[in-house]
Amino acid sequence: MSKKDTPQFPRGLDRFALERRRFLSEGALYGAGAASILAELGLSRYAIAKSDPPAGNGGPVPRPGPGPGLAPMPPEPAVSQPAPLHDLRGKVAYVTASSDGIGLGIARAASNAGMKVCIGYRNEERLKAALPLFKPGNAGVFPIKHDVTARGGWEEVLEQIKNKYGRLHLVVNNAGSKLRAKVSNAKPDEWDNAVAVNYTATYNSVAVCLPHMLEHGEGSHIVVTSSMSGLLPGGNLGVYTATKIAAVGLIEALRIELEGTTVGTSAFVPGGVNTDNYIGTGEENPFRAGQQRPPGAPPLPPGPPPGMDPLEAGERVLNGVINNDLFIVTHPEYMPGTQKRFDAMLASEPVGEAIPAGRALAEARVLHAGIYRREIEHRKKSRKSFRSVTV
Amino acid sequence: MTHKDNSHVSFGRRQFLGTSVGVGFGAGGLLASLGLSGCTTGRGEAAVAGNTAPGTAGGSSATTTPQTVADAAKVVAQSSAAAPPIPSRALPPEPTVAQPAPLKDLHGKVAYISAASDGIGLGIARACSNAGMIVVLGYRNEERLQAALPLFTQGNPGVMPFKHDVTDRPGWAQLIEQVKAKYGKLHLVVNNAGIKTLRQAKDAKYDEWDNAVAVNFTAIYNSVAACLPHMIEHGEGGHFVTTASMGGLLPGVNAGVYTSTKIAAVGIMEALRVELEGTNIGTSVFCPGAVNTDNYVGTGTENPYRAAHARPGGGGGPPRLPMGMDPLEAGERVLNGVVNNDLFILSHPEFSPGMKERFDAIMLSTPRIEEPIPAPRIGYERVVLRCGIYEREMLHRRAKRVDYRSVKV
Repeated sequence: MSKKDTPQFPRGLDRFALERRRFLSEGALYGAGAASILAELGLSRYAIAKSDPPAGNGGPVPRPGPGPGLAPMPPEPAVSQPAPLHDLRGKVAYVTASSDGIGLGIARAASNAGMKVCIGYRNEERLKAALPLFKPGNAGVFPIKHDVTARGGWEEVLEQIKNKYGRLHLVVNNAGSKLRAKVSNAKPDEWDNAVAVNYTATYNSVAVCLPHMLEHGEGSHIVVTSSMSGLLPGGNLGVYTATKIAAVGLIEALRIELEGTTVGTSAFVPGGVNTDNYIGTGEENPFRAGQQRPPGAPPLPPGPPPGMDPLEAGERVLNGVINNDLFIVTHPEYMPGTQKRFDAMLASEPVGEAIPAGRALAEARVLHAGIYRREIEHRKKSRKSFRSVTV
Repeated sequence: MTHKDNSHVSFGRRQFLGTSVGVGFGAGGLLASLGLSGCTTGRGEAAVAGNTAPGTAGGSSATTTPQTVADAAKVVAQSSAAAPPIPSRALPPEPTVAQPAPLKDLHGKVAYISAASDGIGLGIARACSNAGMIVVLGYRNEERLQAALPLFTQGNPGVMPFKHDVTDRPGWAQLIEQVKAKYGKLHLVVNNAGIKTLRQAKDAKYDEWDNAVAVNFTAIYNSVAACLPHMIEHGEGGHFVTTASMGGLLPGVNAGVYTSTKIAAVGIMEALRVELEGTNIGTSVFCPGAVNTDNYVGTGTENPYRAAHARPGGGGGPPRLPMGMDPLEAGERVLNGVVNNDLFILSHPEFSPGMKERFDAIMLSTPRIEEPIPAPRIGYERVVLRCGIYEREMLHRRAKRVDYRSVKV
């Protein structure tokens, strides 16, 4: 969808302001006819009560049109947002913290896919070790020293990328705090730093890069490297899991906001990958090439490195980008646990209580987020591969 | 799909099995030890799920591949092929039941509710007071506080206002000092203060974002940092509640700053449950839908039905009926969740079909398994794969409950 297809609203009135006004005016027009309203909302099983006063004639309540002075709501899309960045060749990617670990894997995969890759780094030594891993003959590689919590730094980064390559198409918010602390005993600065890196940095990237992406109008994409801890907070890593859950939530919110634009959104939620931040434990990965075991470290288990190769993780991220997957899941072994989490949430709803129909109607606009319905349909399509970087 | 339709579950299991049967015996043993061996394969069902390519469910080696994870577990038990234990990843014994409610008897206990001069916070504070608790009211606006105080029932225990900005860490320390000086102990902390901004995340200014994160997310950490040591020390049992929102489970409101920080608030309370399960400090996150407050239905529009407030401009337009939940009822439901130590306090079941869509979308994002999962990987991931709080919460939820409003167990 090109930029000019985005629905236009009156000046000073965002989409939500319209929703809000319509919300209240419709709510005022209804107020009775519980059964038919709940049925219309797909909530018939809750219509067990004498919740509302009887309607005037008991008949079905007609849905009113928009109130006076209200523009009609934009129609709900039938299918999920088409992948804005489906052809990676020649496009420009910026991957934060990509001198090592998963970030390096994503950067290498992007480079192998023909992208120009800007490498965010902080440690010179790691960068020097990383650069030879990019294949000679690939498109350009451009290192940029960057602390993702510095907002001025983001603006400088964008300027540098624009000067070097003209446009930026893919931002991967990969930098993460590996702090292994509980919420209940983290120090204030530890907490603040984890929130700044794992959560707010993604907002920073959007604040700075999104206007540029919308302006150049070519398909673009925003990815955050969260973690399976962002879907399943096991392992007593409270600060890490809480901020990773937050990062997933931010991407979901951005999908809702950007669905009608040329910018796609994905949350990458890996499990064990062979990096320094091995399986989110903060422990040094014993299998990292060239690493010496620190004295006193537990003995290595026999066999090959058990996690996913970072390059494979990177390819799976790009596969998610070109398919515009909302959630890029790579480690299915976590999903039974995740399902239990969701089941526990659903089992927490009160049993056997009626819903006042007027309330359900007033909430109708927020009872479903259409992105999930569309994502379910998107996921039901067959896919040849979850690693290939070409559609 | 109804709630009882478990097709998404079986889909996840199928994919999982497609993996595990290909992994071999070690993984089977690990799966059994993770409590996943009850999953049965469904070769015949494999075509139902769009992501599952035909033929992937059975693994590659027909002669040695067990048909079910349970079969694999048996084979493992007969052999010594299980992955060796990893000393640095020894797991403590897992509890079998959910954490018993640490704060069962509210009478005479002390509650602090942030932003309690109005809205849901006031409802929670009034419910606490009616339940016999001593209530400390966090507030910022004097006028609202003055309007709120007469709503507390005469003869209830003490009510102490405390002017407090929840983003102020020294303020939290002062709160604890004052409560200790006046009442001795603090038992219940309700992180109710919230930023109601309707900004989209893509449009938010830096200070709007920072303020929302500070109030809706970091303030919870602040409360734990300040109050938890005291609550552990007095040992009488304590409880942390956060007022999140249905937006924290289903971000249907197109207001990303709000929904994303509320999702974060839910996550931090889950993390705290994991951390505090073995203590006498309970944890709950309250996710309401529409409640009749200023922040009506999350719209940021002043609630025209708010008692004791005339409509702006003295009326006009048709009379409207209150459609959301009464804040006092919301407060009673929160306390019911506290005395039961519910991890998730939900009060608006009309959101569950939409929640389920979100969860299904996540579950369906599990990729088709192209290659078997290495058993050692599962071994290393065990620490995080096992998150028993949810299983225990489901058992807890299956226990019969008389109602969701009473503050008596």
